[in-house]
Amino acid sequence: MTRALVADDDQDIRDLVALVLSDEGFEVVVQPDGPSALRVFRDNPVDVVVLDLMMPGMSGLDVCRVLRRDPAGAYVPVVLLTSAARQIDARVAIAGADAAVAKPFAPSELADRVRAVLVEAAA
Amino acid sequence: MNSLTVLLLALPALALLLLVLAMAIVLRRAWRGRAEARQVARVAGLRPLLLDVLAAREVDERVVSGLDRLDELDQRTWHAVEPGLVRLLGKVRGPGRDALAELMTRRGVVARAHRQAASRSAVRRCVAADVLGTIRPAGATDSLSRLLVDRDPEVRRVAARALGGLLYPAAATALLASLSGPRAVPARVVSSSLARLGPRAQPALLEALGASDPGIRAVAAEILGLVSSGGAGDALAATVRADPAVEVRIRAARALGRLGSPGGTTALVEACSPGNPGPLRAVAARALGDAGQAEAVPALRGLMSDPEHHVARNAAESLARCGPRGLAALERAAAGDDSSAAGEHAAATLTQVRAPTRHKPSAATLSRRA
Repeated sequence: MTRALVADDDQDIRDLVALVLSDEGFEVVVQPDGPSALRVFRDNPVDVVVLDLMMPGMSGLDVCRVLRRDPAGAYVPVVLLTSAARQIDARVAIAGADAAVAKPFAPSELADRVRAVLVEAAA
Repeated sequence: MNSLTVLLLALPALALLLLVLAMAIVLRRAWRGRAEARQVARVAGLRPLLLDVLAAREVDERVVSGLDRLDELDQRTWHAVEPGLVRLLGKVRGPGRDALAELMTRRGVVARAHRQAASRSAVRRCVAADVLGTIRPAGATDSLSRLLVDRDPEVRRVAARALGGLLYPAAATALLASLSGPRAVPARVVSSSLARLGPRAQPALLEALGASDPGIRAVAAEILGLVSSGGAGDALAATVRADPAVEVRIRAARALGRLGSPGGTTALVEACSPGNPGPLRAVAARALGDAGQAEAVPALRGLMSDPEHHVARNAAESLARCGPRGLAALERAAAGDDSSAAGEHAAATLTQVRAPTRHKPSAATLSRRA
């Protein structure tokens, strides 16, 4: 089963993303912030990571940069959840994320984007 | 019976009355606390159902059954669920969200919000603006536009954010108008809402480039650079060339760079000419790099010798983003073909460009590893 790690400080978003991905057949692990997401990833790497861009303390971009420096996380597909997707395209690329999904998000769009980055990573 | 006797009789009676009152208060609080706890538990129990409906990719049987359960809720439970529902509704799009918005409209939430928009309480007006912006019913633009000039600044801010969520083009006109006047909404809030409207805001933004207030023109120019899906290049180029306010010209130059239209290159090159204000020239030089058009290379190469440091440095950095022709121009300048100042800027930029960076491996590399 494909494992997904979801990190967002907003419990509603965390639960919604987890539900959308569970419905798609993913095994989902949720975390409320960047540091705990990194800890979980180091203990048990996942196949795809979904990060909120604007988490307090450690943002999604920060988590992504740390992941890219970690041999286990260097190539894991990362999807960023953001409230302004168009404006952060460049920053997403710089941090090494694979895609961004704008909030409020559509369940089908999120599921399709996560599937797409997994397919790209496997190609 | 003298007054002392009356007092001696009244005191125990008063004490008894106070005791009864205290007991009544305690009992009432305990009863209310239990009722609230039951209500909280009932609302918490409904949360998975709400999430289930919102996370659905389509309106299937599961969604319909969830909606039916919500429709059957008694008024008291519905009132308890409603704030959480509004909060959740603002976080997702899709068929589940639309179905829930319809249900809320049927249950009178929208009618109540329209009424509360005229309430004497600022808190209720804020809640009304939030609800209207989240559910996006017909007529919300009018109610929210009225709240944009509310006497309370917080209500104006909430209304501006709500208008951004409406996704109706008419909201852009109201938002731009709210930038001026004694009850103006902060530009940051308006800009964010206009950006959320996306390309729908373009007609209003183009019209606002001709507004008399330079603050409105500046925001319009900047947001066009973020949301335009084409067709704004000529108007922005004219703004860069001729707007009476330097700040507006600067924002228009940035926007042209973001859009990267070939037609904008000429206006940006002109904005770099020595007769223009320094900050505009520096921004235009940077914007030429954002646009990344090869036609800008000769002008940028000349600008590396500019006496203004920011202009020259930005020109060099922009050349690095203009493809192979830009890089070749930098290499020639660094080799001493141009002025010594240009050579220094070119060499510094080439050093940055050539600094080792971490790149993700290509699909082919990944495949080889696999």
